[in-house]
Amino acid sequence: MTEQLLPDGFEKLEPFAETWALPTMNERYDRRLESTVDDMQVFYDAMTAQAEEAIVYLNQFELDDMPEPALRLLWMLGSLSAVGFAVDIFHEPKVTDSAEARLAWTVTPVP
Amino acid sequence: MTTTQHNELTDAEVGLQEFEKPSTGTWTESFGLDTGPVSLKDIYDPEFYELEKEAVFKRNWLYMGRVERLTRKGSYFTKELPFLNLSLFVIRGMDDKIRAFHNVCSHRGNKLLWDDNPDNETSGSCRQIACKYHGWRYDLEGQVSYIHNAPEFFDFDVEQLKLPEIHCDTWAGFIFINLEETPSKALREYLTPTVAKLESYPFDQMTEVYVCEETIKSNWKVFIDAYQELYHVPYVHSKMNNPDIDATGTDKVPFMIPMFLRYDKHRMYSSGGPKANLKVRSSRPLDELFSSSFYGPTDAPDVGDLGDGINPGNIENWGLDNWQLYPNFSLQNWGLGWYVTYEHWPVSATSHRFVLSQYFVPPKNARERLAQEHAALSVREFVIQDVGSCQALQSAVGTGARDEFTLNDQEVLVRHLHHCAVQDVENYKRELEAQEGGK
Repeated sequence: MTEQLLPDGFEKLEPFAETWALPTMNERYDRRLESTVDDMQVFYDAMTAQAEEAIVYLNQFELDDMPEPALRLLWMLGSLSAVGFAVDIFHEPKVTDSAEARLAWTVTPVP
Repeated sequence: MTTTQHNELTDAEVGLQEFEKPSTGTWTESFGLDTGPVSLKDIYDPEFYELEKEAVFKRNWLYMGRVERLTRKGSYFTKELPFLNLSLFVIRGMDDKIRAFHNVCSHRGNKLLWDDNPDNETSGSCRQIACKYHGWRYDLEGQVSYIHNAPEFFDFDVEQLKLPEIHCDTWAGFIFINLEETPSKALREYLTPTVAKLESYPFDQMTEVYVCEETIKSNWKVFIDAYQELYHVPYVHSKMNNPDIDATGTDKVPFMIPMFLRYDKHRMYSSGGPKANLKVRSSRPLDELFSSSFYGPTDAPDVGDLGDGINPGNIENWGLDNWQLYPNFSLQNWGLGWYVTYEHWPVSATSHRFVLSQYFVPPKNARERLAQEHAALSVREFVIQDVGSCQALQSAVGTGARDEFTLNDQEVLVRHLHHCAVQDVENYKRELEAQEGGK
């Protein structure tokens, strides 16, 4: 077993952490574009099963003072939001009929 | 009004009620516009574009950015507008006044404020404005304050070396410039009294910002048009509707806008937003999970009173105002306590730089933080769809296959924007002709 990336209690999400615990919204969207819908569906299902629990857990921390494992969990919830459209609306990684449009984020909150 | 039931909901509940038209009969006529076909030559004709730069962008107030970007004395940001051959910066002075200057050193004309790549915009804070080339410095009011090896220069007048200033004013925390020698109207007068009243909206509380940008292969007006009507929504964004309710063919929900208003060259619509149409309300499992959607976080923050500028047409079930401030700045105020701005900067006749900014009350915890990100992401997914369809429109209209297009009454804002741009260009041409004639 490699280093534990997420807080205790979220072991089931651990296999997805390396791929989806990405600190910026651009990285999360890029990962969506380079993933398959099937892979994202597996991540989506695992995350939605524990999402409410994760949010309740994260709510105990100040946003600007989160331990690293909690931050990773926050980023993974951001990734869940980012892949949601691909999984349950478009059934393909990109936005359907969007040409090459990407709309890169130039300002986003930290964390 | 029909009385069909939709999953136990009345028509009014799903937002299918018929809206009253204005007393003039149609929205289009209430705007003082004719109802005939329109030419869209103004979105691709290179000659029109050249005139438009002068007639529209050098003769109207232009939005630069929010005051929150200039938090303290000496805070600045630059703006690169290559289509106008213009580089400028906006800066907060020692007197807290916000000024705009050409970003050009009075010595040899180098660009004053830039980082790494002079083509890119930058921001920061300084005590003096220093030129990287030969070290000349200026105070925050634009007066030269230091000249390296000054005795080597010949006679000069320090006053003459002041940085050229650009007319700049602020309304509701939005900073605007005007490139006329003397603005024909002050900013507030330009906005008109009704639009100006919007300054009572609590913009200053919404400082958590998400910005995304893209250069889009369409004329700047084409992409504004995508936000000026909801007629396209059931088709371009059909997949965003609730998949549990049939939404095909003629059954597609007509997203009717109940209120359009015109204020000089500006225009707006009000609608119910989240209260208007059940088919897109909390339509996805993740919307429920994050308590958020395209309409914003479901649990609106307490921002107090939304002011007396919103909903100027007094519609029932108000949820959203969409203000189109001429020429290229749009402002969307949501009843759920957040707002969105759109900027559309021409790059060429057939392309433009688009900037989407979304503003929220700073989140207190992870749940609020994630709800905001989910809303910002949802808006962006819609907008990305609009990019595709606008680029398709641009390339098709640009073929010149036809020069007359048909707009309906729900597309009155589209008609009005193109009308205003064409009028500005016509007026400018007349001025040029008068000047020629006077010679």
